[in-house]
Amino acid sequence: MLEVFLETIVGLWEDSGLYAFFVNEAGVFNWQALVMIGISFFLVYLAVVKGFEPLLLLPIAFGMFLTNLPMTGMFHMEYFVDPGGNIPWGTLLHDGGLLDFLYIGVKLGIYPPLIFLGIGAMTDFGPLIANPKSFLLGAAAQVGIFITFLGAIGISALIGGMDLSGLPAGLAEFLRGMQFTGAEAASIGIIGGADGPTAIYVTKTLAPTLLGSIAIAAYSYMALVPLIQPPIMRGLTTKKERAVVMKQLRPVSRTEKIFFPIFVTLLIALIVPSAAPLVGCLMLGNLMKESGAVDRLVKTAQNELMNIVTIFLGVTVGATAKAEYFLNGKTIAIIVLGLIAFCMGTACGVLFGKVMYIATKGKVNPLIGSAGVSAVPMAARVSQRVGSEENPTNFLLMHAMGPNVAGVIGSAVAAGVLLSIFG
Amino acid sequence: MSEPLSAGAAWSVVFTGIIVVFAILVVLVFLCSLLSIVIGGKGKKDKKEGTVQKSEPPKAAPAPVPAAPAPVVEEGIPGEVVAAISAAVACMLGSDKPFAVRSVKRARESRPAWNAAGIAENTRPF
Repeated sequence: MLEVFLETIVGLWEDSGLYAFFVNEAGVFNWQALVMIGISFFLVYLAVVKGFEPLLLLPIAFGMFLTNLPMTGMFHMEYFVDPGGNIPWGTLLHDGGLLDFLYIGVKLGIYPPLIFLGIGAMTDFGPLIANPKSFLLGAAAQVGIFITFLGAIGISALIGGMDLSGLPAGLAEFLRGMQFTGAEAASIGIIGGADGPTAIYVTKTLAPTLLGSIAIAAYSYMALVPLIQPPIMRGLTTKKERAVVMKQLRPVSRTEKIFFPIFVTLLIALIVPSAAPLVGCLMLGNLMKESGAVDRLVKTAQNELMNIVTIFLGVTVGATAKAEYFLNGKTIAIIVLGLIAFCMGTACGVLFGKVMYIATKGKVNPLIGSAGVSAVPMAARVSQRVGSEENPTNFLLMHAMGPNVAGVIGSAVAAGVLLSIFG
Repeated sequence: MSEPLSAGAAWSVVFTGIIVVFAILVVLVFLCSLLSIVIGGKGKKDKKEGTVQKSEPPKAAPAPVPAAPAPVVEEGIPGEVVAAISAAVACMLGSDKPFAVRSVKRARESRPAWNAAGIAENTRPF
């Protein structure tokens, strides 16, 4: 009897998550899972105490925590990493965990467009319609995406050309991990669009194994926009340029606001069809808002739907950050390249703002260019803040909202271009 | 595309991407400008509206001051509330119609305003 009792106890112990911490599948101490859980706690701290994009970072962090707890079987990354994009549906339905099922919404590209629907229902395109030249600033800030793409390819080529045989095996492996394919480099570049749903939409197709790292980098840097952008903005502009007071925007009629989403969808969907789900949903949300006819639907899109999708998206994207896919050289490179992407996007926006300043003989304040990197409305607020440092009576917010919302459209178009090349 | 890209291919992606993004957004600039001209944002109509708006404040300001007698205000209603009520009336009537506030009285209601708003919200037909 004692033997049966002991066998049961041993069986229970060996089936427990605690045992799996000490002895993983390879039979060694599973320190990677502990490190990941530590990182998830740090992200919870950033979200709760420091207020870094808490609406998304908190679910992401908790998803990361859940997925790295051994033996829970809530998420199986291996179902979703087939290069051909095939999902083993039979296995998934039979053995899948809760987060596997919720992740299908990410994998099939459902959640990001639904988030865009909510964003559209909250966005006022009035400043952009009043000053259409803002579109150019939104386009300029997307150059950062492509510069970062080039940077990721450059790093891969550099490491590919290095002789790693003389290095310790661990370091050589780490460096080899920093090599990116074209599709992976495109997913890293899109961080520069400063648009979480767009980054997720591209990465889930082009580089699903990097989804956790890219989403965390994108949302962390979006939260850090008020720290990252101002030094670049001040460094690239003169005091005189920062003090430019812009002419008040003309009022925009309701008819214009109703026609705008229809025309934009028509144009973008016809030229870059792969951007249609994102832009289409963004514009549907906006049309619902501007029409004034479907108040109840607008409220749902802005609140309940958006909140539900945000929870599902956050938790499942966090769940992709399993130790074996996260703790490698690629994540370090993504974090560095993501920062470069944000800086380059900001710099290109401000530099194009300077071009417009010269072209309009000093009527455009170059500071509004930095708002072209999406991150609505944080980036526009940063333009306002830096502008008011020079002249406290200068209100750039509405002028910066134009490039800001143009940036959302621009990054969706850039995403469509990358998807059509690499997808 | 599982192999690392060559430098030439990477540059071509960069050029294609930047040119396509700029081209589409430039087309959108034209589209928006066209939209504002056709639908009347920047057209003559708006200019007229603009001039009307500009000329309003000086017209509106002197008119009610000498004409309107002081409103009869119930005791306990502060001047700020009278001003807010007058502003709300002006907002609803449109600023081109002159009006005078003759008296301000408290409405005798058995149900508090917030309760009434809650009932209205919950009983509104689908």
